[in-house]
Amino acid sequence: MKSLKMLPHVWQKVGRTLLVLCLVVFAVFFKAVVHDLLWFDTKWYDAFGHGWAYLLVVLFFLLGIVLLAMSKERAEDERVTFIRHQALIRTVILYLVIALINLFLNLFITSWIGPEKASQVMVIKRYFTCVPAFILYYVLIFKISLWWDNKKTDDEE
Amino acid sequence: MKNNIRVERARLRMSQKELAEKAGVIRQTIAAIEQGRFNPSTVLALKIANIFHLTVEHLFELEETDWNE
Repeated sequence: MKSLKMLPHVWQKVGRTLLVLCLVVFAVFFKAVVHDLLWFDTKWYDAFGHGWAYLLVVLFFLLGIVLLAMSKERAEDERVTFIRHQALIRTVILYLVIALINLFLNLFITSWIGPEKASQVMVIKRYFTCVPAFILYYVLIFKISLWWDNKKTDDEE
Repeated sequence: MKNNIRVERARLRMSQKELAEKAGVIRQTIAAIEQGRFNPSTVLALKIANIFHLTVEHLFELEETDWNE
């Protein structure tokens, strides 16, 4: 089975480092997001959500995820490729389910708090259905599937 | 799909790691094949058969459930 051309394994470390750094920044932003969600406000989001700093963090986060998704594992063979393909199929299904839930939540929130406030709050939910989220789901599902499959085959003779 | 890889490995006193290295895969892949959790590609099945100096039909056997998939 021919597999896709991927980056060498060393790029996974670069991607992982970028993700950790961005998550530290996002942790601060998350506190702001929780505040906004609880009070149906956008004060903190407006303060942090615009400008080049936020855009830079998002770009590095996206780059980190893409590097993780497009880099080889330490040992890559046809079984790992098979797990990769399975993870991609599961990601598509998960993404469709989240998109459907998002749709119903949109309708529910709009009818509950009104369209004006709802449009501000819904910006936060878009994080779960944007393209980087799709790549992140794929990376998580693939890593967990590979770890679980390797765990089941630990019966060295 | 059933297989006799474990039996043939024991016959030649070969470890999973040795077989994996000869076949160009990792040890976990050989373990997954033996446990029936992963079906090898045609190329890999032929490689493994070649290592044991056997035919693919001797190593792998279709089960009743495989016909219904």
